[in-house]
Amino acid sequence: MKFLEVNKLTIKFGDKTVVNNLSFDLAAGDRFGVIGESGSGKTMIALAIIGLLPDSASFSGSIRLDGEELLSLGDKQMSAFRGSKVSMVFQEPLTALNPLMRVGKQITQPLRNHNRLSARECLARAIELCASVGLPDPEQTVRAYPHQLSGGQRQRVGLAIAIACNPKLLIVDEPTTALDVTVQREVLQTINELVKQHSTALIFISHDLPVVSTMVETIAVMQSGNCVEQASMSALFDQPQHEYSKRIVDLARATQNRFTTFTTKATS
Amino acid sequence: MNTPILETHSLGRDFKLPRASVTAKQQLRHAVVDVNISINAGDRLGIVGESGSGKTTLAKLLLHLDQPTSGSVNFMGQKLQSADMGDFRRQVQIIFQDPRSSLDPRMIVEQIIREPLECLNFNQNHQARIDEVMQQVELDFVIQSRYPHELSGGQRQRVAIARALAAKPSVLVADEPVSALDVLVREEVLQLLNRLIEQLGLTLVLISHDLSVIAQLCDKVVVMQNGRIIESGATQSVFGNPQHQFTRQLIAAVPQLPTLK
Repeated sequence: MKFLEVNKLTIKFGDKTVVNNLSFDLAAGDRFGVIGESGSGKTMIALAIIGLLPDSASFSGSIRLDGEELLSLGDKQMSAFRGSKVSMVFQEPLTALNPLMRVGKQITQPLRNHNRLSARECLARAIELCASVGLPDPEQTVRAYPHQLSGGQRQRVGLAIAIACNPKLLIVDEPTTALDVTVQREVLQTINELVKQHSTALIFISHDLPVVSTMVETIAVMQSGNCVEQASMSALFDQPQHEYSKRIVDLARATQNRFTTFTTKATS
Repeated sequence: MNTPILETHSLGRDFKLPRASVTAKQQLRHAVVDVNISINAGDRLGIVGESGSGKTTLAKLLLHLDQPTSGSVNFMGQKLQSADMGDFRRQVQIIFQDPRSSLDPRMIVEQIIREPLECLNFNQNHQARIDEVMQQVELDFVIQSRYPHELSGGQRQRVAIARALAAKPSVLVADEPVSALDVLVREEVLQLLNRLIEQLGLTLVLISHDLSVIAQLCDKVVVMQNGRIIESGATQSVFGNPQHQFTRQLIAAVPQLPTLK
């Protein structure tokens, strides 16, 4: 039984096709990557699954989550799904968070919507969530506003909001593009641990092959709306089929080699 | 040859933080602390560090776009002074991180590249120079009449490079020149920069948080943390044999490909 089935998904804005005939499926706990240039339709896939496509988009095909067809759901029914079954971490935490609301309240918003917790239970759960995503000093952090936190901490808050209701599917869209390399590594580790711990299915969207390769088992390569290749991570590296996949694999290898020629000289 | 082209002496820059209350003591943020670097003609110096470590502030000080609160910057052995900047500006040019915000949206490409020629009284035929520099950065001549929003990210950054090179500088400062670009375009622009620096014999100061970019373009590197230089040396020895704990962390944080053979 597949947990998520995307079948012949096509998304258009007017005449412009941004996602063309995309199909993939995930079992519970699968980790799936989507890679492509900006404008290749990566984010649109995520927005379609979570039901946040702009009104100007027209779409066809089917997205079935846990047996339920998502594309035909109304706004209200979709709200019930969002947060509890599927949730998303956005690219830029400063725009994804509400600047006027303490982060504790933002973290528990999905909980209040889905589970009707009391204020005290909410606070306790918010502190618990802050701790589980590795935020320092959770009791104080829940009282902070987004601008008082660092970039990495903000992204951790975004992650806490996303996992508040234990979703079965977590979509992360370029979660570390705005972060430093050292912080990036920590945030990726946290996502990895959380996903494994709760056997959540993961869709990881990125333009950065080295980053995705540490996070997922299978990957879809997107180029201007078309999925040009779907393969396991090792197959992609061993035998990339499509021209574009070859170029990004070769480039990632070349970059790494260039770097390791420096770093391995010391150890050898 | 013995005089460094750019040199700093215990350079410092403090920023005043907003007061917590009217009676509170003025707090300072030390963005750059006691930085001594010397850049010789032909050097390719990389500056790495986390965001907030003072990389960009240091670049602004080197460019005299910001005044130091202590120490000084020397250009060709002369202390930089605001009075006569003409020669300095002709010699030292910058490429900014995001070409979307560094290119004037109301100018066409030709005007953008012409502007430094006019401001700096460039003494050759301007149109000929524009054509020449556009060819150097491998831009099609037809885009001369286009606006920045009509260009792709890679083209925009090439226009920014063309503008920087227009007045034939000897020093190029690049602040995260490729971090806003897609991977394949980034590689093209890096190779272009590499070629141009070699062909034109430029001195490069490159700021980046991406160690692989530094590894590709720079032969020397300084590592910054909290406004201080904590490690410096040849790229090979700093990356190959990092002395400071923070440098090791930076190197360890570079994502590794799992199935690399």
